[in-house]
Amino acid sequence: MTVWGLVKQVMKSPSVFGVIILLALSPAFAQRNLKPAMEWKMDMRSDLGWHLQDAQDLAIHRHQLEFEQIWRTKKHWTFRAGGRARVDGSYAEDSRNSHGKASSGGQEISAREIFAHYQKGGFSAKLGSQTVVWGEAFNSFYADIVNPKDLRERGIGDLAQIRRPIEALNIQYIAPKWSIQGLYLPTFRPNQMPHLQSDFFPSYLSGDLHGVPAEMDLTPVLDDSPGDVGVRVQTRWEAADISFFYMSMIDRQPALDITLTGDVMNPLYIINAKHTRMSAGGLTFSWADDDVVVRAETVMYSSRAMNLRPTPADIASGRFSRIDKGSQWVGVVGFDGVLSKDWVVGVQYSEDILSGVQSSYRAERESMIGLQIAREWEKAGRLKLLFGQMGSDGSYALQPSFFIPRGRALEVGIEGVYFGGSKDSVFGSTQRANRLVLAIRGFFRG
Amino acid sequence: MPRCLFGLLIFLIVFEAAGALPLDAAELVKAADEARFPRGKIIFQVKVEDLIKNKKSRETVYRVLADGTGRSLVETVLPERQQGRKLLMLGNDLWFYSPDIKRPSRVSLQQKLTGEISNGDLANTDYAQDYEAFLIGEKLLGNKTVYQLKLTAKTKAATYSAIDYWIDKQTSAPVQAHFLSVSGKVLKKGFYSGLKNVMGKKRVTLLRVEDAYSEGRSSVMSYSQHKKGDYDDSVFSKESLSL
Repeated sequence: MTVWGLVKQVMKSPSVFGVIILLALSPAFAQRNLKPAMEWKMDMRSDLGWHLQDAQDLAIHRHQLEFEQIWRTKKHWTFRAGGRARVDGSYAEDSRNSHGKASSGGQEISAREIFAHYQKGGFSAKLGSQTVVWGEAFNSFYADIVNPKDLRERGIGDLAQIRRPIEALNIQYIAPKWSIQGLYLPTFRPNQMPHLQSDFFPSYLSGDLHGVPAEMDLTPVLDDSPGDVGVRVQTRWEAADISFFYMSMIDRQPALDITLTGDVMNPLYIINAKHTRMSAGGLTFSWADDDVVVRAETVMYSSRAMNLRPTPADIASGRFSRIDKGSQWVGVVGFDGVLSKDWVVGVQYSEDILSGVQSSYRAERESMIGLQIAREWEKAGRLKLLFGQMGSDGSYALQPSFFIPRGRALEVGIEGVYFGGSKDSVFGSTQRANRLVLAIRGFFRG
Repeated sequence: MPRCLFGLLIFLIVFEAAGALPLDAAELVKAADEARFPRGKIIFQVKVEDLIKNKKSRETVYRVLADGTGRSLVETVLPERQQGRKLLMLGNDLWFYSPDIKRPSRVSLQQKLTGEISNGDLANTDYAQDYEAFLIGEKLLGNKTVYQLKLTAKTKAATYSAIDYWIDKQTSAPVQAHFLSVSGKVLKKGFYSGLKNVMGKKRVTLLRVEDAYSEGRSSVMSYSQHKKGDYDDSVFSKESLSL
């Protein structure tokens, strides 16, 4: 699709432009607390990257435009509407891909946050497509369970980019030292998963297909009618923030149901995505003193559906996956602080434990240690380095990035991702995604 | 009778002297605070120009909400690539919000001191609350007669351990400040100017801060667009950062 094609598609979509014009004419809109009544934001991102091993061919050639319009009334109301257009360069042929056809390039237009927000005193109500962010740990989603995620690239990149906005009614009451939040999500949206031929599809799962062609249908199959509810209570005590949360929700992460179809000469795996209802409850904690901040969060999932390795009996009956329900506990604790010369350094340790299920595709207990180093220089730029190593299998992931400002609205930089470890390890299974990327970011405001 | 007259004379002399030199240092600092910022809930904009050998190296614009009780919210307006970053300060407690993450995170008190102009400099409207004041005396600074004071931090929430402070005797506006470290070394030197009518009173609108360690490096903070704050107390909450 050409850029003009994208523009036409946006223009044909249910138009918010009429609403924009009507709102612009309304005298009710005026500057509120030094913020303009009307505001727009346009973020531009372009990435060009190469694989770091094997063929060292093109890994990414992406251009993305994200637009957001905000309107504020004189009092109480704020309206926000945003969308994203993305053109992804094609990976014409990838000889390393055992399934022949390489990942295709793609174009997509998606709605981002579109909501109405009412706030009076400590009362806040937000209705529409939005992001709701819970959690304390850096660069992770442990307690950040409300929004589905775009995991097509394994969650690499800015967390705000990875979250998928979801339709919700979000009511909150904020008192000076505590707050309570209630959520109702009438619709279901799944996590976006990497395609079978993608660099980010785990190689140990590809291996289990034994070279047989497969088709993946990620249309969600739900075991219950949509409708999630959640509640969160936060409190501030001395220098600590503590929150408790609970959600009854349909799992955003699918359990994959794999069946063998076709005949002996032309076998074909069909992979479907099953999503089941579960409950999730947990707490988050952070505490700061002069130099250090301690952060922790934990979530307990009950009745979570998981993929199990098929038994010989399953295989004999043509089922190549088993799905069972069990419990999962995840917890993370870490600390971070500013060292001399504005270096921000953080370390955190996490555990992820399954119970009630056996013979899963992953280890029953996984642990990881994470390290973050960041620094922002006045003119020279900003450096960020993320490192994670699995205690359970020794695999590791390294994500460095360095961006240099060019004027007020632009920055150029270089970033990369490097997964290491054996082919059947957590990080090593996506080694073929290792890449180095040149990037330009533009931030335009009006 | 002569005794009575003598007593009255003594009383008048003491009274006159007290009127000419108010010895309450805390009141002096309060008056200087008022000459920096209006009282109560306010909103204003701060433009910070960083200079290296008098050549502008960077310009940043912040929007600040403060209520004069140690609560403030600093939001970056320019440059565009940093727009939307927020720092909430409630006394000793600090939270940072970045649009990249869309989640408020508690940060350590050190964060208050980061940057050429520390975050604490941007929104500290209330020296009288954060510092104990001692009047050292009067002196001539340039062509102005000033009170010289020593301010020492009362709480950890104070940005600096101590401040040497000079206040114009005539206008009660601050003229100069030396911001000191725990060891008593001068970290930065501040020069106040730009006396303008802001919200019904003459107030300083410019602060030039010189780095005591790096010669030729300075920052100029220009305060403008002061307004009475039309916002609820809930804006000074962690939860409101992401609304």
